[in-house]
Amino acid sequence: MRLLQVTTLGTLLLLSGCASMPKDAGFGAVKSFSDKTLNHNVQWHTSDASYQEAAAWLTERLKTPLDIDTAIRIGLVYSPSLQAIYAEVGIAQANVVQASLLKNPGFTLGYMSNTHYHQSNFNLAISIADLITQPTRRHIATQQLEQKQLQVELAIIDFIAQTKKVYYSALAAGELAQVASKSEQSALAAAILASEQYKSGSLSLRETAGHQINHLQALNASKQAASTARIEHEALIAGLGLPQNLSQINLEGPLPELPKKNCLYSDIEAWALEHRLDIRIAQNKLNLLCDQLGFTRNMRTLGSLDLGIQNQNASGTGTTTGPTLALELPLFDQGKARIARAEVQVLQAQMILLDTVAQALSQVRTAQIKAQTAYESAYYYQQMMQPLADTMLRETQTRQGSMLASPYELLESFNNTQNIAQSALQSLYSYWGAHTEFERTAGGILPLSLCTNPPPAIDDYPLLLNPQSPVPEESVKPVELHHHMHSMPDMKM
Amino acid sequence: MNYLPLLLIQLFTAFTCSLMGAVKDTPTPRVYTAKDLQSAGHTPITTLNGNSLEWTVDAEGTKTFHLTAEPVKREFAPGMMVDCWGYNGSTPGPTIEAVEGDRVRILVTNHLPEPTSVHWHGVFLPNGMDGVGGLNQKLIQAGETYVYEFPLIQSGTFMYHPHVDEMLQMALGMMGFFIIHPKNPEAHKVDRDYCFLIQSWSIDPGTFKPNPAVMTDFNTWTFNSKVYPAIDPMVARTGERVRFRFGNLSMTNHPIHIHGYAFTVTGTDGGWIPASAQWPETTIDVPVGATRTGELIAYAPGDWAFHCHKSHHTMGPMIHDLPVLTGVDQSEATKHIQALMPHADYMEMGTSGMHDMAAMQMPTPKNTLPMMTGKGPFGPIGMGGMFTLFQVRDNQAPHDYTPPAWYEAPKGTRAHLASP
Repeated sequence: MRLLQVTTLGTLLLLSGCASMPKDAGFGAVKSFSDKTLNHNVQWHTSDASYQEAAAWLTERLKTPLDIDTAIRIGLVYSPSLQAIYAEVGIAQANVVQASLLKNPGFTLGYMSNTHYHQSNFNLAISIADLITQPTRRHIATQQLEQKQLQVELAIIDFIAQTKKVYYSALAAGELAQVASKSEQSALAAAILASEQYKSGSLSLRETAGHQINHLQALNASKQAASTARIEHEALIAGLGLPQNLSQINLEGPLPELPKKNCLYSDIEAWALEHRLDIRIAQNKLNLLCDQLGFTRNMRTLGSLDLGIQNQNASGTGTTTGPTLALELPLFDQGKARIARAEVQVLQAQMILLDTVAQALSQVRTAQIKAQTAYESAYYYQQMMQPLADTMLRETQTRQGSMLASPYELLESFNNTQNIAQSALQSLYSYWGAHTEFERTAGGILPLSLCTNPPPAIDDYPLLLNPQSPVPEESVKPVELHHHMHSMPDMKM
Repeated sequence: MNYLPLLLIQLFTAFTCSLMGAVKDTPTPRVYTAKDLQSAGHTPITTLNGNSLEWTVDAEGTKTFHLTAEPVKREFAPGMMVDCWGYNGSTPGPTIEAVEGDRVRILVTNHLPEPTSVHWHGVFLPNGMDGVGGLNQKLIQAGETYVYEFPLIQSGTFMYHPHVDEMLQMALGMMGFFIIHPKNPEAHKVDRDYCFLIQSWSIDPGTFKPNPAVMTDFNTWTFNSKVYPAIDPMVARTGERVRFRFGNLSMTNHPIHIHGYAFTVTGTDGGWIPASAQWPETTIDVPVGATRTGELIAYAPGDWAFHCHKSHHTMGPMIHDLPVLTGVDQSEATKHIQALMPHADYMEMGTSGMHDMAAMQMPTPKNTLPMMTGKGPFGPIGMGGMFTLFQVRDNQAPHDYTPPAWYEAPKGTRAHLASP
């Protein structure tokens, strides 16, 4: 401990005097990323009034059916879980401010006296270690703030993807429940007809019972589907963290249509390398550890430097503490072990970065394959199978109308359209889920400029029906000896 | 492999063909038709919705006919075209008419995608001319022409049909009449002589190819591959003697019934029945693989129904697994179904019976038999399939086959509402 002259105090105060909490508490960078890059408005409420205002807005907004963009917006500006995550940035920003400050000087007051004299002294003591390490601490804390901002941005990307998936799921479940209800209605119509036939003596008890079992099975399936729809809605409510007075939401269906054309993104790996935040986080961590290694080497004689960096997973939001630094007298420990440790940590971070890149590229390729497959599947159902099932239904109805098919066959054909509709819905939902996951794994946005349109799957299908298929012409008309008589007018009585 | 012999054969064939082409430029021989039979005093056959085959006569007096087996398209009824096989562009094939004592030579050219042969059903002939593929002769391969030649030593009502892949070839319509007139034109003389072949088909509504694999579940019933109301009516002048010849190449018997008359059964494909053994019938049951001949004197003017008495055979198109809905209250089920169907116009059918089908004329699947469209002077006749009319008029000119206008019943001779 050394005493400094009061004259130097002014300089020191200048060094730290500018360090105060910025107005946006470090959230500006995050907001800018979300608003501009992701195109989703985000808001961190640092006052209760502001949060209450958001709650009032969403309560009003939820009076009308909820579209997907609004659902995301509600989450980004209201969800308590996200607000808690945003707060991490504020904490990291506070750490930067903290790291910019010198420790408060200590005051010592001494009083010595004997019978001959009295002496009192007043000393202002400032830690020299604090003074030496202050720029380093500030540097590290700033880097950690940036790291935290990236982590929160990543959390926003994940939240958006998750919200989309839950929203699509709730929407699909609602539509599937409607399909199941139609199937139930169809089975009910058959059961009613069967019971009327039974009453009039033209259907056996055995067959009638069979129709009633069919109906009850369909009724059960319909109730299950309705229950699933309610549960999926609940998942969306939970995901958005809606306030307790909002326990019901209406979604603006139906599921978005399948895009007209499939999109195959060329060189999506290069895009992902540039835009995946987990890669940037791993890169930043490596940089931090490199810096730590440098500081450790420089300050080996001064003692240990503990940057307090914690290992975190890609989307983790665990708290970090600001850097701490302690000075020691290098009598016994000359820091060799600390340097070795820091070197190994750098090596480790390099490997983690490499692995993050490898995993990320594989994820984005996998997600693209899944999105492509899901597109084709939905395309087959919507563009081919549904029209064919509809054709079957129309033809069956024509047959029923000309007594070439029974109402039961017609209802069976109708059920077939519902079964196909169910699979079509599921495949469309799968497509949007896969598309969302693809977008997430590509870094939150998909580059439309890289989209190429592969030929539609239907072009490869060799068995297309031509509804205009001609009926053959009569080959050779035999000599007709007679004229037909049947165009003659009705006879009057 | 050495291709030289093959090449030489091809060259030789080409040369021969060109020689034959040169020889062909001889004068065309005279073509005979049924009118020539009429001139000779015979009554030519009236094949409903069909015609008789022309022939030529060579220096030795042999009558030469030419049948070409080929795929044909036949309009069973307006709006329903069927992809069949037949002869000379038609199913049934043209009626072969000849006279007892003739020597006939019948050339058969195969334009089908598979081998065939022709069996002359009921005709007495040398065994090698009987036409059973593999048994009496080699198969007539696609593109080949075979010659059948034999004297006609009997008269009567016979048929011709394939005897190779019979099930398929006959189910697709390959059949025809072989009528041998008595040598003496005055024997068995009639004024009008009608014939038709009975066949049943399985043609799924909305398709145009018969299913040859079906054995019992047929849905289409034809006289000469036509369905009422496309079947020609049979007409006569009061007092004329009329003959009806039926041949059955379907897989079940058909009781052919006439209204207002009784037939006298005068023949089978086994020959003429002696007058002492003939018997009266209003319904002649025509067995499978047989012909029957009935005659009558057209004494009663009118429009007389003439049909197979199996009621399903006068309907069409038929399906056989409909639930019984007659008398069933469908109203509640109908409300539910109407609420579900994306296509409008769901109608409950059959609650009060099935006659509505004839009256309403609901749309049918494409290329499906019209729903019993026969319309009479008093409304829908409600008949399809094997049904036609026997129209007798006092003023029908002899040899005039033009269908007359609807019969006008003399006052007091038509059924009417009991109370005013």
